[in-house]
Amino acid sequence: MEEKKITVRKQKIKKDYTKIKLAVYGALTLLLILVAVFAPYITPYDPYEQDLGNALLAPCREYLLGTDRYGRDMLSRVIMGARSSISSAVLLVVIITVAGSIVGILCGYCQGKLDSFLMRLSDIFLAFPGMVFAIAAASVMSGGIMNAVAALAFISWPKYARIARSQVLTIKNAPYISAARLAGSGTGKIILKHIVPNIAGPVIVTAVLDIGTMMMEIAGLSFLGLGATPPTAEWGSMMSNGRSMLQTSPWVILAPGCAIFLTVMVFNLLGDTVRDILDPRQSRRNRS
Amino acid sequence: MKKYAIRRFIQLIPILLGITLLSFILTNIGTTDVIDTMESNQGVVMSEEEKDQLRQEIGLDKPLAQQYVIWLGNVLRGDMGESFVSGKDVFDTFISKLPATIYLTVTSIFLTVLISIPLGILSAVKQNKFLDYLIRFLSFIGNSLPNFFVSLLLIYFFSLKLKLLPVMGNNSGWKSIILPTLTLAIAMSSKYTRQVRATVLEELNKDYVQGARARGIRENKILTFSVLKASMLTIVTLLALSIGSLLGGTAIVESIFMWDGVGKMAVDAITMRDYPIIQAYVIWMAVIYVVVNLITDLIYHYLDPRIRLGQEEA
Amino acid sequence: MTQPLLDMQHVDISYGGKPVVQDLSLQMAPGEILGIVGESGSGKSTVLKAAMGLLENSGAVTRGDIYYKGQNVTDSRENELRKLRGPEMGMIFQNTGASMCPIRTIEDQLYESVLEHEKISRKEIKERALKLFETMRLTDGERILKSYPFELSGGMNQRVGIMMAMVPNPRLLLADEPTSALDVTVQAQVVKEMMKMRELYGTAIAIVTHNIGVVEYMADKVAVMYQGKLVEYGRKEDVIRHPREPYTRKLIGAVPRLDRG
Repeated sequence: MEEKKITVRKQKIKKDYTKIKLAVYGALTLLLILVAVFAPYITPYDPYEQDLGNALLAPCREYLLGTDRYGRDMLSRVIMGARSSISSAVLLVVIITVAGSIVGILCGYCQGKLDSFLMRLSDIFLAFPGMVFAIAAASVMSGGIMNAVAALAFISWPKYARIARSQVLTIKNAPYISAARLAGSGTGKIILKHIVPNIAGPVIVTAVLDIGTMMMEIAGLSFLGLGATPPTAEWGSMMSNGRSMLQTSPWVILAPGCAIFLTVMVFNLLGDTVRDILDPRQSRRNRS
Repeated sequence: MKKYAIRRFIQLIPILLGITLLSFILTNIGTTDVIDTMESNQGVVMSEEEKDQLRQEIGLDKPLAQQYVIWLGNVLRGDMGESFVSGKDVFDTFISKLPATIYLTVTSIFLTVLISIPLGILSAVKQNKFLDYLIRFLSFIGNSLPNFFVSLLLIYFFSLKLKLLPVMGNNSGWKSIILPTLTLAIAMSSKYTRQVRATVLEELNKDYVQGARARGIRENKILTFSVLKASMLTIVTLLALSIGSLLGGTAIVESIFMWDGVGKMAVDAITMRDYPIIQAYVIWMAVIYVVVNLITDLIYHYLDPRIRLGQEEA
Repeated sequence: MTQPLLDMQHVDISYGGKPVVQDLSLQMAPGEILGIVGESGSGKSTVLKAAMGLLENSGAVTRGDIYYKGQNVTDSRENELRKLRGPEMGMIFQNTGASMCPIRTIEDQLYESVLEHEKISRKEIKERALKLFETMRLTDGERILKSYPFELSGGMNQRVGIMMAMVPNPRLLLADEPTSALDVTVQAQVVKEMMKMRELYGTAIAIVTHNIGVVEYMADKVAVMYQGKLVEYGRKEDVIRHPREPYTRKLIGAVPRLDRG
């Protein structure tokens, strides 16, 4: 048979941008956090100083985002708002992550009566539509951004308990843990050295993805008057106070609104990227 | 199947008890005295004796556990007390506001399904193509927008600038439901489109799809008759689960659009510290949510032959 | 020489840029049984998938060509390939149960597959299926057809797989580890049933397996793959009796025989 020419084909190979993404979104997140931390030093004006002569000015060179009805600089207030919004959302996520994980690890590790009691309890919490419960809880605790955080924390921890528990159950009987136990490691040591690092992945992914959601929920409670109270510069309450001026001075709404939107977006982008890296099941699906 | 349904109903009992207990505790740890609140809200001046008598009447002097049992009995009879503000029966008030919320919820879910299912499927089928990126980008934006901001943006553009739609109220005919529905549907479909996409992608990566291809079946047919059929079960379950966030979301949206449903009722009650109303809102919303989830779960079990035929222990 | 049924020439296959198969050439005559052996990860299954044009998204034939009855499979459009899959080439998977939609009955999926390529009545399809089941000495074909894949045992599912592949009467059966998940006794039966298919219908079979015993029993020709390369290829007698490569010798020595038939 005669020799045929061998065809050569090029294969398109998708580049993996995950690391670049992580760097970019990580940097953006860091920038937001820096803004929040140094807010008092970078605001062009005092966010609380009223100047009724300059009330409701449209964005201009002096007031880049305009002024609100008390003549306060919107840009300064939005920057200050980053502080309360980001810190409260991060605080909330840290609380529920730690509390939920502790409960989950306890349940998974000890099992028995404590486990079934705590899991039934978390069933009850999971039975509430989150925001409905938070609205009621925050209203009983009568306002304040910390109370809003507490209300949301109260209803949101079970998710983390569930995740941590199921992770513990899957690795609890792994040979290396039995080996550590036989080698004389105490329960505390096993939990800290072997279990915590192993459940960290899924818990962190959920936590980072939750920051944006929680920020929106806190802002929502503030919007309803159940979170930050005036004159505190907080995005949700700023928007709530500006509602009546929507027609005449839309910047009063748009400035804090866009601030929430962009911040939540950055955290969500970071969360998605972290998930791609830490959750192999998900990322395999995305890449193949 | 029957056995499973019964078991699920039995499991419901402790959850419902828990819901009521939690709601009861929640409204009873309120720092302010109920009678004092009532006094200041209704503008009636009462002497301390009168107040004490009233406290006795509603059983506030009894231990908390006993109060709970009495209260629970009343709740089961549909007696949730009277509003501190209007003095009307709480349960009746709730029931009278419920249809408006259900109406809004149903239109939002309908719109969400209409948007998300096709987009989610399309996004999965065109994975990593332009259309997929576009859909994912849009849903990403929707996911990062709080619904009160969406409401205000919609009002700004459609009502104030374009003057196409009314700003608020449910008394201006069918047009008034468009914006609140749109707000809720935007938030819900952004989340849900992603879930639909993930579900379909997961199915598409299963062996049976490759199997069907090896039998020479058209991609469209594989998608419609196998993949979508198999995904639908998960898709429906996810939809039911997202109803929870919808129920919470209606509160803010209803109050912005002055939509006279239970959500607005609750928000109004918060400002007035009208605890019985808040209590009714929490309990019934949770009950509705739990029941919706139960129904979905039962439907799921009925539809999936693997479970229906008792092969997999649920 | 008559036109080969399947003809692979200097084929390289990569997944996401990583070469999986390198410079593979082999030919199959009509009615021939080819056994492809090698350890897992040696690229055996990839060869079958490539023959059907069914490599996953990240995989591609990067060099060389695959011909089926003279038609270039590698350069064919999806729509042309689809017409080959089923009527010309049938595939039997390691786990037929998983290769069928879990929430539809076997009957339903059988009709779908056949009707995609042929205009015949459901009754006719069913008759063919039942006849194939009879050949395999399965008398309750009706019940099997009405079942969902998860309701059947592994061995039964593999027979369903043979039936599904054979109903359109293809010229080439590609069997990807069809017996690996089965008990030894069931394995032997499934192997015999595949042999019977060739006897009755003259179907060529390419069987991928890591079980030399199966190959020894079934194959006319043997291809041994090692790390993506074809290290030995020839008539069964030559390869198994006089293996040239040390790897082949190791493979033959390591696996229990299945030649009681």
